[in-house]
Amino acid sequence: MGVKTFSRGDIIFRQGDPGDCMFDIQSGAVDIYVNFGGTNEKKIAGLSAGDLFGEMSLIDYSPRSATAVVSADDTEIRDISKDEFVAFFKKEPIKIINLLQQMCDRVTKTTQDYLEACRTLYERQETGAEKDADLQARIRKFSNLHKDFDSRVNA
Amino acid sequence: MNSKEFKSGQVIFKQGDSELCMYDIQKGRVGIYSEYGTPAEKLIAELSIGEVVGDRGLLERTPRSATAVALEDDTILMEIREENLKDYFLKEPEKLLLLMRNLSDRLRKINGKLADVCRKIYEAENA
Repeated sequence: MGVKTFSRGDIIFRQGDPGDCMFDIQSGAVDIYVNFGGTNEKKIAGLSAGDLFGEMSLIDYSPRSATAVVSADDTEIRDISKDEFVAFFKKEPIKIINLLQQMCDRVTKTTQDYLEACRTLYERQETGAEKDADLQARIRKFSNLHKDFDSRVNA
Repeated sequence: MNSKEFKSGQVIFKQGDSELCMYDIQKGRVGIYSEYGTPAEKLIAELSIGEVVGDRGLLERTPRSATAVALEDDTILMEIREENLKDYFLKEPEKLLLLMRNLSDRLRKINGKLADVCRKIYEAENA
């Protein structure tokens, strides 16, 4: 569980890279981007001391889903491998429980969005020409979300 | 953390119930059924010592998606509620990664389904 120091602009990992460890920010700041450096680059999070990131690759060996870029000089980051995960949990149980809670919240929210999207698709097909403002807003919301999904896949 | 004992055939929780807890099997076996007690009843899984049942009810607060029934006498379950999570994982840390992996699988699947419906909505609007 070594701590390393980074400078502003350093890349911790890139979207699409293989990965198997997570990171704990001791001090400084890290920004998370999708499509970093591309025309549809989008910052999705700004993290600081106490925040964890990169956990998905540790949990299921998936490739990195985003790029992590250091945004302040002298940023100190601890890396945690899968073998070190349990020891890290014993050291910082609250951080891991919070992480678990965040993952649960994401599943819950995504499920709600999915149900709302299904309802929207159904209503769109049923109402024909006369769509009320609420339905139109939802159609726009999910069409935009499609463009978001699409841009991540085709980065 | 409470320990609960069940006899063979006793229902642990019912499909559709809302219950903010999960169970860690200490002894015995648990059957997971869809449509339990109806002609369409189907055993979908059998779990035993060391396995966890009902984690979605606790972690995602969703109603029970199936009915859990004890399959033998002296089936003993440890009941875990939100306030017990930290202690439970300190006691059984390897279960933490397992549960997180289940969550990440579910997230991936539901994300895929959402992306699919969004595409259909977009394509319908831009046909």
